[in-house]
Amino acid sequence: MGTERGGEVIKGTLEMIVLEILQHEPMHGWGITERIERRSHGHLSINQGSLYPALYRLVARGWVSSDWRPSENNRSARYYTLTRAGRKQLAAERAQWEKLSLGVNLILGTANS
Amino acid sequence: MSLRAWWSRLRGTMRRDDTLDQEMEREMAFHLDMATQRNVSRGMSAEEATRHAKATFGSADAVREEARDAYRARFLENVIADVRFAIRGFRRSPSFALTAILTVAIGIGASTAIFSVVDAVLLRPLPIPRPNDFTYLGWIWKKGNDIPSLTSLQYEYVRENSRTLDALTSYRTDEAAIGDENSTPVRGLRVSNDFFRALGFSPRLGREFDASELQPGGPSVLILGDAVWRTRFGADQSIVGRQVRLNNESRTVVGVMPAEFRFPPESSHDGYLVPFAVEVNPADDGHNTEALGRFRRGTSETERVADIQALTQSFRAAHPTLAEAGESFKLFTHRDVHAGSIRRTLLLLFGAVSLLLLIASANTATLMLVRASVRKREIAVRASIGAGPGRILQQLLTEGLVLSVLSATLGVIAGVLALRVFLAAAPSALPAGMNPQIDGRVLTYAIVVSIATGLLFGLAAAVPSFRLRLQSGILGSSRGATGGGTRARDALIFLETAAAVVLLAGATILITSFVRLVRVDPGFDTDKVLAVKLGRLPPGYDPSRRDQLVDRLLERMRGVPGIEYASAAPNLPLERGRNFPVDTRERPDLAIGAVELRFVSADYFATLGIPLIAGRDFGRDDVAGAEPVAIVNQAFAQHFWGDTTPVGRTIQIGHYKDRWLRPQLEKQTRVIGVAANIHEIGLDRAPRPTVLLPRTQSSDGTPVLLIRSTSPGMANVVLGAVKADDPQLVPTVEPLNAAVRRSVSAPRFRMLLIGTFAGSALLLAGIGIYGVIASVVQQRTKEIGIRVALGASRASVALGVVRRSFLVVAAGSTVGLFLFWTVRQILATMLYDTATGDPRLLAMTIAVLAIVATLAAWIPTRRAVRVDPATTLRLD
Repeated sequence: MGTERGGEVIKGTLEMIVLEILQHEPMHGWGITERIERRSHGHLSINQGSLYPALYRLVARGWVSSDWRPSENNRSARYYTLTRAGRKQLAAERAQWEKLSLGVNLILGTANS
Repeated sequence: MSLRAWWSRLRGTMRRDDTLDQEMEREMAFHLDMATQRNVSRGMSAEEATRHAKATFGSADAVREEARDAYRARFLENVIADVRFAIRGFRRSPSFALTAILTVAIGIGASTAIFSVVDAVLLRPLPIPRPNDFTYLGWIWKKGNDIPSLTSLQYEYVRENSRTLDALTSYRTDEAAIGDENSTPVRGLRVSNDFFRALGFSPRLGREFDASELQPGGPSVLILGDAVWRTRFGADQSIVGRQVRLNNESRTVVGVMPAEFRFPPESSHDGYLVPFAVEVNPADDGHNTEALGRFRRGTSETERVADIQALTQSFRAAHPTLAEAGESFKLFTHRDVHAGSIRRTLLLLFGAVSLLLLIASANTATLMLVRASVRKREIAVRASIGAGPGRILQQLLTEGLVLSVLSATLGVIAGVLALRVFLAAAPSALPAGMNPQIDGRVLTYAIVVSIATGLLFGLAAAVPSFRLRLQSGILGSSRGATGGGTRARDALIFLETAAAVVLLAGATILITSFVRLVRVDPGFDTDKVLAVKLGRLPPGYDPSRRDQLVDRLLERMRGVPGIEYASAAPNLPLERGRNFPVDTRERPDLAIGAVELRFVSADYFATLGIPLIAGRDFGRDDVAGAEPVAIVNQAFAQHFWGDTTPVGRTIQIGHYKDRWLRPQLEKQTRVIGVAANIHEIGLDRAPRPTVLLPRTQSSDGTPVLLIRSTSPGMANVVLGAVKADDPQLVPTVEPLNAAVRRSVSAPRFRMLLIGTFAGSALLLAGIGIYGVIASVVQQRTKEIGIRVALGASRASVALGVVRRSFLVVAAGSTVGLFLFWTVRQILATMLYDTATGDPRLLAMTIAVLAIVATLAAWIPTRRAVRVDPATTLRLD
């Protein structure tokens, strides 16, 4: 990982990551940004410009639903919730990701096998 | 994909842009605020914090744009992509697409056409105002059979005593030339009191008939129908009050009916209306008076039924001899009266055409199935690059729907044409005024059908991919040579065979029955005989002048060279005539309530070529005042006297339950001859007991002239002879065999249509079975190659393949026959005789299916077993 600012999220994995974040609790867009950064210990920073389109795509596919609720500082914010279909999708993507990353790691020889 | 997910997706598609934008705006503002707050808490100045937040967010416009697209386009995009993909796929295999589309188009077209007729005749409300208050009245006899008309006395009684009827009216159909006497006659109605109130139509111009005009012998008046008013009188607004000639009788126009007026709706006798008075004759117990009523608005069904029951009881109390216990008035709906006979035919046709559609759909479904197993790998690839099963199903369903929508479009066009052909082929079998047309309702039907078939196709195509282990498809080609979907294919072939056999069995029975029907010898000559109808006689012809006219015309005809015999009869053979009760003094217990009674002139038997078995023909001495005489047919003689020859015996006509229906008949009638049986009232009816009386002793209405000629082309000579007597007469002439043909037009029509459906079914099923089995065998080529390579004999391998398809077809045929057996009761009522269809014909059709199936398996199998195993193994 050679970049200064931490890794750009690989195309296509952003949605999986968002699903993962939402798995624990409904959250608004800003909260998702914060959690991604926090949970990757700063290794991943997401382009906030692509977060919202990704969220809307997830909503459009029926994996995530959204509604307006008061936020922790009592402002109205749009919260995203994982749907049952989204939960399934997450499991499927996670399994695929694990296979893929294992394969890539094996090829690159970075994993200790 | 869950329903909720679909819904939210759809909502996203339809959500209005501004709400979407507003929400997005608020969301982004919230995001920026939160980011700024964090920056401040990390020690930036307020200004710097805002700038930094905006910078990390990027271009808000771009986000907005992209987000909007993400929200809306997904669903539609998929659909559009799927449709494009489907069309591309069809283009790549045009023969598949063409076969599928044409097949289903034929099915949808035929069923749309038939549905439009079913809709018009059976489903649509009657085209008159407040149809629920409109009713027909009739009578139920003791034996349970009923008739939708009343005797004149009953009619009068209900008119005077009903508490719930607002109006009761009667009508007779009529036909006359309007204006120019040589113009084509127009169909009209003679209508009695309260006709306008009962029907709910009033003239658009002028007025209704008044009381004096509705009296017998009242002023000669006329109301024109809208179409006649437009076409013959140029929609002349000032027509009311003018004189118009109706069959050479001058009548004053008092009104013009509105365009919506059509009655009876199925035959549209709406050219003109003239007044008519129901003549009440308590002695006439023939149910010859149509009774149309309109209930008072707001009366309930219970009140109406109670009223009818009360009327029955009081009528019985007043006329005990005319209403036995168990007999009663009955309400009929319009459909009971007018669609009764065609109803079953239509349901039969609709059933047949639905089976045809089923076969066509099954055909296409099997095609899709075959194609899908060929496309297994394509689908597997798509699944492995991330298309979920829902997404793949959506794509396959879209493909099916695209196919069915294309088919439906073609089908509806075909339906319009088919409807024209149908209507042209069924001039008399169909209530024409019910006006079948392709409209919104029919289109809805077509759309529903096409969606249903489309889903069927899509699901059929999806069957193999459900079975498929998605990843294995991408790895090897289908090495397990009997791929998924075989069972589904077998099921479809089975279904197709069964449906085709049901149709074919039905068709063979109808065809057999029809052939037997037209082979029935009517019992009289039809080829050399012309029938001359005199139409409505001009005014001034009272019964005696009328009879003189008939005698004169017959005399004149007999003098024409080329004419052998001329005679008069009340109606054509094969048309129902008058019925009267007849018995003998010795055996009143043998009384027949309804004997065909025909008033004919001398030479009737010679003209029609009916053999006289015993006795003599009517002669010059059989005149009014002399002893009443009759000739009976064999059936009559058989009934009353067994085998003994009845010449010289006497019968009583019109003697019923100890009273005489007509005083002038109150005499013993002597039998002077016995005629051979003929099919008097229809080829499909057994000869009935019939009594023939000389016109010279008692005539009845304007007769039909029957002319037997030795040379063809006498029609004009005959017409000329009639015109020469009285130029005001408007006669028509037709050969008798035309009338015979007409009498079998309904069964012929049924047979033709069902035959066409069945033929198409055989063809479609044949194509379908061939296509499917052939493709299955082709896919098994490798397996066959392996078996041959392993030393199996070619013959045994081929036999195995052929046997399978043969078994499926055999099973389908058996079940089809069984199904047919259970529904054939419906057909039985339409058949000339109750015998089942020709088993040879049936066996032949099944044999055709079996041969098709065997060939379909045999041809590709033979190819497969002949190929060098090494080659087939290398095949992919």
